[in-house]
Amino acid sequence: VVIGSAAVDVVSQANAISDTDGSHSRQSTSPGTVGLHLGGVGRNIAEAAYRVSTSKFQAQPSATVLVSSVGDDALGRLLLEEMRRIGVRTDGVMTAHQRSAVCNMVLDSSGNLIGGVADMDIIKSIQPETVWWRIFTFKLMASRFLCTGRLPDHRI
Amino acid sequence: VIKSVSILPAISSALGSNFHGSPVKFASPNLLELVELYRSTNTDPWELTSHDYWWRTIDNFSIGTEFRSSLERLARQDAGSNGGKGKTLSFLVDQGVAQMAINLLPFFQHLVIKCGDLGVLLAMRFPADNPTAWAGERSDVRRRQIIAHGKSEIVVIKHYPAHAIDPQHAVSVTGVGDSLVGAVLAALVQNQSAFNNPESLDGVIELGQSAAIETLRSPFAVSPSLSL
Repeated sequence: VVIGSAAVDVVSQANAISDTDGSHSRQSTSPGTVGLHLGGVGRNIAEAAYRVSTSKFQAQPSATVLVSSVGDDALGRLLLEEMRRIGVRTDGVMTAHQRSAVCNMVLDSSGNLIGGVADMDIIKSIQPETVWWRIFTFKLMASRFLCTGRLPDHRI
Repeated sequence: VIKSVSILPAISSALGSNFHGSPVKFASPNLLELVELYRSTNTDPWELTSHDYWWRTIDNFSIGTEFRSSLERLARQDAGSNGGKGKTLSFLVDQGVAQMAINLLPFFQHLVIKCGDLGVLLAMRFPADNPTAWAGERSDVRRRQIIAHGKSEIVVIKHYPAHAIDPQHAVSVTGVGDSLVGAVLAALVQNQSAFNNPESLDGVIELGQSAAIETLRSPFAVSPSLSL
């Protein structure tokens, strides 16, 4: 059981040309590529554990569970749908009336991070009571728990 | 980095007067998080290192001059493969990384410290009631391991060089550490005592580092190739 964040990473990378002509200005947009990827440390670890345990150890796909929270919005639906497509079970992921977690990263043409904004407030909505309720409801006979950061309450 | 210390309140409340054994079994900080964890355990409001339990545990480690001289020799080894690019392991001593890891062992039994292109550093403690094949091991700088046989504990420091990768194949560092941790946890679920034995530990870290490299070569936060 991994308890932690599930987020959408929005990665923007400017084309090389806009770096060199000096027009990579703060008051305007630059041509480049923008990609959406699934992220969030808890979700990443759960996906990696799911992939490795099913391919290397012939574990049941259901052996890895992510307990997390997504918003009742387009990005929340994207997260759930993509995780289902990958095969990671999503029954530990709650839907909250908040913005889904998004991490926006802006890279220069060589891939270095220039800046970005992380909107991860939704992870604070995960309460210890809800986590235990999830675990008991799904009869998760879990022997191992991993918490990733930013959880709001030391009882978790 | 700041979020890495959010575990400390739970550790603080777990430390009773008769406590023994680390409250957290496994933690996988990167170097920045390790420094922040160490700094926070030492300072207000936690000051966990002034707790009686911490003193008793560190005393049991019996870290002596032999351990320190082995560490000095390990620090002169090169970081290995192509990753370190001629760098040595001097950061273990110069930046106090090994010292910080040992001081955190009373709270975290197994520390898997992610050092980027400098590889992975393991710091572990095995209390007497935790039988381990490390009991038959000795410090061996060539094998990048240092072992302290304490009063009732064994402390192990072990370094694994980063896997080699052609820089042209490094696509995105996003999720590389998460992939390592996910793979290590998948292996630990299979064999819960995998850290107790040098050979099984080698296998677990190899699996983790391979997963990390796969993700480094991929634009995704977790490489789909981990399913192959």
